[in-house]
Amino acid sequence: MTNKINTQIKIGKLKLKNPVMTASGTFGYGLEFEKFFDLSKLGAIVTKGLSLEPVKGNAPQRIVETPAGMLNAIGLQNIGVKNFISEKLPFLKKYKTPIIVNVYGRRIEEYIEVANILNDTEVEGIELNISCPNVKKGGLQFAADKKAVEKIINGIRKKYKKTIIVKLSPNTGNIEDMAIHCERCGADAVSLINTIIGMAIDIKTRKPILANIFGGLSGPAIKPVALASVFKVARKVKIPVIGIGGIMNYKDALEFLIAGATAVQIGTANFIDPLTCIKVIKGLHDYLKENKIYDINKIIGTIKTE
Amino acid sequence: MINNGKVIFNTKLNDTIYYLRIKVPISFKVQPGQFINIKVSDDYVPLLRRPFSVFNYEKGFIDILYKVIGDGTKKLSQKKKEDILDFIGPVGNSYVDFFSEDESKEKNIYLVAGGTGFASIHFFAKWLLNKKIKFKLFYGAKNKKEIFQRFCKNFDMVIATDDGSLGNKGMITSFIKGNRETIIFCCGPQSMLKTIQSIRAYKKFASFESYMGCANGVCLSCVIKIKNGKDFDYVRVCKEGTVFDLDDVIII
Ligand SMILES: Cc1cc2nc3c(=O)[nH]c(=O)nc-3n(C[C@H](O)[C@H](O)[C@H](O)COP(=O)(O)OP(=O)(O)OC[C@H]3O[C@@H](n4cnc5c(N)ncnc54)[C@H](O)[C@@H]3O)c2cc1C
Ligand SMILES: Cc1cc2nc3c(=O)[nH]c(=O)nc-3n(C[C@H](O)[C@H](O)[C@H](O)COP(=O)(O)O)c2cc1C
Ligand code: FES
Repeated sequence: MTNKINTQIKIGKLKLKNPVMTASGTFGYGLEFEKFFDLSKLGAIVTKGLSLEPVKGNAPQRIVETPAGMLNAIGLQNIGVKNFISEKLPFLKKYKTPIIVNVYGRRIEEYIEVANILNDTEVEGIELNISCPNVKKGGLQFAADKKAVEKIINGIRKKYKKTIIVKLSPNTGNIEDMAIHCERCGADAVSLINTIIGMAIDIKTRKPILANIFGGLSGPAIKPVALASVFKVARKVKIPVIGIGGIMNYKDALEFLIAGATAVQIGTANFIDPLTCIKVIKGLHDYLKENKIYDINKIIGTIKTE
Repeated sequence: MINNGKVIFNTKLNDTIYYLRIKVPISFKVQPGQFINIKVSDDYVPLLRRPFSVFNYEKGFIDILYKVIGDGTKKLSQKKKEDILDFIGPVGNSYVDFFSEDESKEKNIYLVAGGTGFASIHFFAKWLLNKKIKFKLFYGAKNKKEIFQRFCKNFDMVIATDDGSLGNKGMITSFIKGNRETIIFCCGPQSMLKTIQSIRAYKKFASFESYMGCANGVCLSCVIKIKNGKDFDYVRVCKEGTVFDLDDVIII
């Protein structure tokens, strides 16, 4: 006799069949992965950051590899939310997986406009990127600005009825304070961490390798920082925390769940093994089964600190 | 798409260049100009896969020709016979997408290869040879050691080396005389491609390299500038390329 294992979790109004989502900017608009696996198996798909109008992005060189990680300064190149809705969403929505749009704005009003446009579509939630290190406007300028964050969330809430996630980074200010602030302002969840600011220099030319000088560090190199952030924030807020940073396999994902994350996002790993998300989903399921834990919610936040 | 192929050989050809053969299923199909994205490491250093053009294809086997320049290619050079290689591919478009057999009957087909750009051009040259289409190959490299004549049987060829140790001395591009009857297909360093932009020709196509994160169209790291009226767009080398109409590209 086999007991059925429950891997379903809740983020705001969203019910996910499992806690594994894709991290923004590492999964495109989803469709490039159709050839690798059935997208219906994912907990949720988070799109590349979308703004009101298309954005060209930064000049190349845009990425560079670093030990166990990579720096990126893509500069939020995207097709704009309207093109996403007309060109990509019709294909994406046929999968039985909730779509979450990562939203980026240069102005407070832009976040609100994009959210309002998405309110009338099949997109089931938004993730507000207020922590991108690679753009001069938006991004980090808002990450430490509590007033701006409040205006963004309140402005969106007026019309937007679905799930709001706010994405945070440890780059500026105190991530716990900001998470508490987001909860107070009415966010349904927080996701962390976005990439960490870094740089690399070519010793021959003495020039920064990235045209943007700075980039965001991702991959296994940032996992310990991400884990500590999730642990700290999860103790302070009641809303779900989504753990992101350097997850390469189900064991990494488990660490985040134990630290207090309700769900996880997988980023850089998608570049190396496009099947990572599927393998993590299976790995988590098998782990629960082997350990006779019949509900994934029973493992969340079970870290023992004494 | 994700393949595990056995290494048949991984032979050192000179100080830095290796010739690797991988076994693939008979059903595996690849066109000249396409590339594969190889996982060179089992741990996290280097983390990302490394892209390499397909150098040669024969039913059940693909070859690459690569130069060791950093940690990733060094790890690749340590792969031994019988090792299993994890690679994704084939990726990208092909020279063939831009090739018209009718046009080739009236025009002169020139292939231009610089350095390891020879890899994909070689595959295309073999493809043309197979179809009995005439072409001329312009092949340039640093020195004699980096010119692989053994792979150029039956190619009508002009060679140039920087030091004159084989063929002409100087840049290969200075030995190309194009006119309105010439169609150029090329691959090599961007400086070479930029020079070719100013050579007269009926049409020019080039395969580009760039720093790649995913080779799957999602990370947007591999972009180059493509003209769009008076403006430009950043376009993905791994998805819309690697082969582009050379006149459309803005090389900085
Ligand atoms: C589509 C494509 C096809 C390619 N085909 C071939 C091929 O057939 N044969 C071959 O020898 N090489 C080929 N390359 C280049 C090859 O991928 C790089 O040499 C390799 O990734 C370097 O890895 P590494 O870890 O050894 O070097 P790294 O340690 O990553 O880098 C060493 C140095 O090389 C530079 N570099 C890294 N990646 C690239 C790149 N993609 N292009 C140019 N410079 C780079 C770095 O900036 C650095 O200065 C191709 C690249 C692309 C994008
Ligand atoms: C190439 C690249 C592009 C990214 N683009 C975005 C983006 O558009 N919006 C966003 O919120 N985060 C973006 N991120 C950050 C990731 O979503 C994630 O937070 C970060 O990479 C850490 O997770 P990882 O270590 O699993 O990659 C991007 C990351 C990478 C590597
Ligand atoms: S390498 Fe990622 S989009 Fe081309």
